Order: sequence, then C-alpha cells, then structure tokens
Amino acid sequence: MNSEDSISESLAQLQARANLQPPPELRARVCSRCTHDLRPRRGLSRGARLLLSALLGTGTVLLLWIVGGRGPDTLNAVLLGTAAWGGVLGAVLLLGLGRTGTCPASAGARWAMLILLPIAFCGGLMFVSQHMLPMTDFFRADQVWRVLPCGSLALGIGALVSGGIMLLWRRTDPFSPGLSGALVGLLGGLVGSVGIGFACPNAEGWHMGLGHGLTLAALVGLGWLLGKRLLPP
Amino acid sequence: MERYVDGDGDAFEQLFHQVAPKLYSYLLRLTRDRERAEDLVQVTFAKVHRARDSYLRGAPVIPWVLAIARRSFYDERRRAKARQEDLTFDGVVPEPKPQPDQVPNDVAESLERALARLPDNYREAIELTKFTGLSVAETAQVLGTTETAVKLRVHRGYNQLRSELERFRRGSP
Repeated sequence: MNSEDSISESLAQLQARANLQPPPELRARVCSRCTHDLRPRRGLSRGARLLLSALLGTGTVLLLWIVGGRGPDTLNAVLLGTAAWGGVLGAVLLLGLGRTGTCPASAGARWAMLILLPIAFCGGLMFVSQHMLPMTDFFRADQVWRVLPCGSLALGIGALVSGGIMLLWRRTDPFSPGLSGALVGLLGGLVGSVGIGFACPNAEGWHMGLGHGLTLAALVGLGWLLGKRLLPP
Repeated sequence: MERYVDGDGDAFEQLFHQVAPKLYSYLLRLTRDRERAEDLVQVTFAKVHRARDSYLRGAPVIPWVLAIARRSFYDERRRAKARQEDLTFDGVVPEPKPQPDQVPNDVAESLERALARLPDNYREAIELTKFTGLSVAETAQVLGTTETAVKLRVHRGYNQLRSELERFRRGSP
C-alpha cells in the first residue's frame, strides 16, 4: 500500500468521526435560546445597502463641491477630471463591496481591487495634473506642508464616510471582514480625497498623487482593522 | 434558514439538526476539547440568531455558520492568550499542557497526531475539505481566501502528512 492510499484510508477512518451529534442538553439549551423570542426579522437588503453607500459617497462629494468648488479655470478642469476618475473607481469599488459576505470566487477580484484601484487613482491624478499644471512647486518648503491640512481634512471626511458605510454593512461578513473593511476604507478615502480636492489650493501632480494618496493608504489600514471588529456577525 | 429568518421556530430545530453535527465536529477538531467545543456551538448559534437578518437568502448555510464559528474560535483563542499573558505578567506562570509521548499505535492515530502538527492554515484546509465535506469553493469562503490558495494548502498539507506517515512507518514517533 503506498502512502497516498494509507493517507486516504486513514482520512476515511477519521471522517467517520466527523459528524458527531452534540449532546441533547446542548441542543435543548441552544434551541430554547434561539426560539423563545423568535420574530420575523427583515434587515436592509444588499441592494438597499449598496444604494445608501453610493448616496452617502456621492452626497458628500457633491456637498464638498458646492462648498469648496471654484470657477472654471485650469485647476478646476483638473479637479473635475479627478472627480470623474474617482467616480468611475468608486463605482467599481461599490461592485466589489456588493460581494461582501457572498461569492467565494470574488475574493481574488476584491484583492485585485484593493491593490490596483489606489494605484490607478493616484497614477491617474498625477498623469492628468502633470499635463495641465507645471510640476515645479511641490518640493518648495511652503508647498510641501500643504499636504498636512489637505491630508488631515481628507482623512477626517473619509473616516466619517467610511464609518457610515461600515455601520450600513455591520454584521454582514463572516468570511473576509478585514478585506471588506479595507474596501470600505478605500471608498471613504476616495470620497475624502476627491471632495477635499475641490477646495485644495494645490492641484500639482505630486501633491495630488502623494498627499491625497496617503489618505487612501491610511483609511485602507484603518478599514482593515475596524472591519475585523464590526463586520463579522 | 429562510423560514427561521421569517420567525418559524420549528425551522430552527431543523436547521440545528442539519448544521449542528458538522459544526460540533468542526469545533471539536479546532479546539480538541469537548467543553470548549460545546461553548463555541452556543456562541456560534447566538451569533447566527443575532445576525440572521444579514443572511443572504438562497446562499449555502453551512459555510456561513462555519465561518462564524471559526471567527468565534479565533476570537476566543486570542482572548485566552491575552489572559494567559496577563497571568504571566503578574508572576503566575500557567502550567504547560502535557504532550503525549507514547508512540501512536495505528495509522489513523498517527495521522491524527500529524494533523495536529500541521500549520493552522494547512490543517484547516484539509479538515474542511476532507472531514467536513465542503467543496473547495466553500472552503475558500470559510477561510476567506481564494480557491487556488485552498488547493495549494491541501496539497502542501498532504505532502507534510505523507512525510509524517513515512516517519511513523519507520517507527519514530
């Protein structure tokens, strides 16, 4: 008998012990606990959660555009490009979020989103900015520090949006809550980054790509940690 | 599960009947302790009860319940470790568990012991696919990973088991 056979045979022996009945008193305890106050329960549907997440994200961006938006100029063109690009990636991200707690085959696609979308967002911003604005000012000391207020405001707004979306999806994902939380963080980061971009005085490539990009990274990390706590049942 | 979510108590009993043996056996294999497994069965069903409205209608129930159980087990283990560290910090060193030193007397026992020595991710992949009877896709879902990763873990786990069995056949524990 070769070793493969002996493993299979021994696994079969062990399999016989794999369907043990729990003790009757445990059954009674669990059944009474889970049925004594049983009432029909209807939570938000997946579609409603997605719709509310999308509304929260786009509503925040629109609000920031109204508050911080400027008249038409080169800078504004960059910012509108940023908003359009962020919107496209946000829509892709929502599709990924919609698979929260479901399809096993989507894990790879969701990981790919988590890695590629921030790169696509930051890379896209730098590319567009570079073609419309000269990249000469960013490394001047007074410009470098502008990353801080911009970044912290984007972080704060992104965290609020992520928190709201996280609450909408609470207790829905026992499978990969860290990954789902990171996607929620990324979505909030996109909203914060794009929204603050409307009021941002600097739309130079480095500033947009690095300054606003760091917000995404921070919120992805935060989302990963919070997702593990809030998203599993 | 749908009828249970809609408030049917009898449906819960049926659900328990369908899910509990697999869940209990899975938790016994994870914990290797009957009392802890029973506690975790209760904790898991309490969480299922609380989160029943988030269950996606029509989705397979067993992977969903096992994923909740697995997460509960790791949470409990993390908390237990933290408690142990606290005790150690206070100067009371917890007693280490005695390791069995007898030579296993049959292949199944040897395999059981070899399984216990596997890294958690290999062992879980083998146990869920071979003992609990989940498909590769369902196992990937429970473990929160991809199907390719599950196949790789099962393959590598098998390789390690094979070498353990070889050692057993040569007579070393």
